[in-house]
Amino acid sequence: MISDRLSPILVKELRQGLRSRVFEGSFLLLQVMMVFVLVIALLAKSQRESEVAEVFGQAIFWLIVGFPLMLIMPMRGCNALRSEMDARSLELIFLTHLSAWRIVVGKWAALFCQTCLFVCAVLPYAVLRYYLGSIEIQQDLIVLGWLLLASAIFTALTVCTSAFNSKIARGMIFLFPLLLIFGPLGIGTFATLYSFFYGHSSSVSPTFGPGSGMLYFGLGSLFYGGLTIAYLLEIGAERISPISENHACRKRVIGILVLLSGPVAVWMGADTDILIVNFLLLVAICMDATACAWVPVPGLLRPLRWMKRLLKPGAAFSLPGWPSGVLYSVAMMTGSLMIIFLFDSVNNDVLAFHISALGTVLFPVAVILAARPRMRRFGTAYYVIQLATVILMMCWIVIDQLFDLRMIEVLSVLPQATLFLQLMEEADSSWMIVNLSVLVAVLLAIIVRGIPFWIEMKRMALQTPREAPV
Amino acid sequence: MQAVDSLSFDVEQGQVLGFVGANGAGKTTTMRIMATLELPTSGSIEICGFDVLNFPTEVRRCIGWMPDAFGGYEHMTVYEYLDFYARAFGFKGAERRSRIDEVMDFTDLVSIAERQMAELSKGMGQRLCLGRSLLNDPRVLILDEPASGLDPKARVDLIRLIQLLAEDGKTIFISSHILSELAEMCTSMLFIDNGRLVHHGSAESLMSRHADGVVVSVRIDGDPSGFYEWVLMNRGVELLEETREGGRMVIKEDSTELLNMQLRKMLSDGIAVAEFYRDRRTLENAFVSILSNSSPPPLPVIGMEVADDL
Repeated sequence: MISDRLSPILVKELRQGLRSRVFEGSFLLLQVMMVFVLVIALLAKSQRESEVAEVFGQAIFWLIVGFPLMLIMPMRGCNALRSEMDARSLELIFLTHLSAWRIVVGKWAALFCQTCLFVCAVLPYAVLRYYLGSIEIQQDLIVLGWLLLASAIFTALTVCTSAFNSKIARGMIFLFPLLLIFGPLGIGTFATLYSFFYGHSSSVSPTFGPGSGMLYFGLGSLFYGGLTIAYLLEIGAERISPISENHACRKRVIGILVLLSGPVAVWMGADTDILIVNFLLLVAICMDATACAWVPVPGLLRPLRWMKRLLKPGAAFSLPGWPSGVLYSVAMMTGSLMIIFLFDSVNNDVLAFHISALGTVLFPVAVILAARPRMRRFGTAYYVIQLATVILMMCWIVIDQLFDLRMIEVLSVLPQATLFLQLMEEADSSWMIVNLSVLVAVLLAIIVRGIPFWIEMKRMALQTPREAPV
Repeated sequence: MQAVDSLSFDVEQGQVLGFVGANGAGKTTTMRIMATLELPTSGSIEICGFDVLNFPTEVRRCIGWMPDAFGGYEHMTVYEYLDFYARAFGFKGAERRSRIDEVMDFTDLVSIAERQMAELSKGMGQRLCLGRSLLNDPRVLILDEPASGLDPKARVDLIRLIQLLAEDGKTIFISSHILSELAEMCTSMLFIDNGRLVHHGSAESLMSRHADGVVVSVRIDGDPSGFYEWVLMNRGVELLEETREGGRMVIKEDSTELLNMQLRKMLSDGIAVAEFYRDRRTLENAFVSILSNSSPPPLPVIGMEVADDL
């Protein structure tokens, strides 16, 4: 039986989802609208002045296709985990053999399957449009593929946000990737990827056409898209899971994959700029790894017991909580620096970037440890400090500009400000000394206050039971 | 806030343990910790030989958990609901269908198999919830207020099912506010107050505890003021409650002979007694009495220690 091979949560969600009024309604509406588009295409063909009608038909077609793919289906993810949490059925599912990860993936996969159904429903009309008008079917299919990938990422984002209780947190998580996608970083990433993969093969035209460049670009997008989806779903799973499940490990493995993807891409002929893109992604991953309270639960290490003698060092990097997050961040930043050194050359700018990035990641940890080392809302405090630093920096920049103080250098004591100004190419190379001093101070503060936590972590690794009693 | 504090007990295999406490006493927290849904700040719990902290997955495999309330799903029938959970428990194909049929048969859900979950009554919902918790054939069942909000018939049906499960050898941990029902089906009872254990034993042992004296209800023919004066004048007798036609008194004598002597004295002193009878001490009375007599422990012990030796 095929359904026996599928995830139980996927079967359940498909059963419910396909019967929902939203799906039924929008599916029927899509069919009606597609017929409308075909009528326009027919009219455009029958009349000689078809150019306006063609453009109009194209616009209407993509609007109708984009609406369910980019809005309706992803928005349904906003309630995916929340509905289970409100109904108190999530904990009943946890008592079965399903893990939080399988629950979240099942929820996302069900929505993605329904999105695919929408795409399949559109395909016959796309083919008909090809026969009716001067439409490039290949181009349409490629755009449809992009829309599907974007929809999958967007759905993962909404499923992830649905795991958060706080509306502020949901809003922030929702906005952050959008800013990343539509902001300078997103455009930069896209441009870097695009230029790399198209630059790989000279025979490829700059438009969406066939060729090996397109293939590399597609593969690259699938890789980064897949990692983004996995990371977002893992965040969602971490939020809903019982505290005895370790979700930090998989997220950190994704970070390692991002780190290693750089040299692979460069080896395949990509521009070394891709290493900088990866470095910025790593900063975000390290911040997520560090912004986590330390809750010593012995069962967390059981899935890693196959590591045997390596369990202790493994725990140092993979346990949830800031003590391992700090070690992981230091390792990742060092790794990034070494990779850039291997494939490019480490200049002062690259070094300064890494110092300020590590400082940015660790600065709030040092502040929290100095104030209240066993703070329960560690993550909230971490991001509040980051946000407060950014606001402080912005206020200082505005005041400096308004009153022409020329005291922007004061900001060099804040790693976040230095990183931002380095990205804007406004930071002076002399800032590196101040930044390095700040980083050393931050590291010393963390080491001094963090020793009891690392000892606790080590003890936990030693006490981890290997096998369950029979 | 500390919900459970220095709570320690053992439950033998096949026992039905009633878990009693006022609202906010820590019952649900204890049960949720047992079900691996929450973590204790300290202490340990072992179920079927597995520690809930170190082996939560193994613990989950041997327990069935029925919460006090659960939400149904939209666009889903009773059969589909059980089918989903059976899949989630790892049953496949024919084995899954047969397990669902068994559970539906046991919980009398066959007739409503195709009914939408939104259309179920509270009683049907509870039976469905019990059915879901039985799908993995657990050795230990943890039932949090299973009979709350049910009509008398649904309650009787549910109690019958629980009794059948107990006869089947399952260890059942059940919390309820209706003590008389618990007394009927439980082999032992655990009373907690403010997260602390106040009594662990049979219902009979609870009723005999703190029962210093015999309660006698007296109905007086005419004005009862003479009776109240008589109670005040006599040592070893205490008025518990005044009623329109008399009252309830405690005669603090253990032996039947001394009790008879006091009652004969009441009659010989000219009290116009129309009727008197011995009051049976209810489980509720005993529990309230225990709560009022329980004093805080001498040393504050942080955390919880529940040892379940099954």
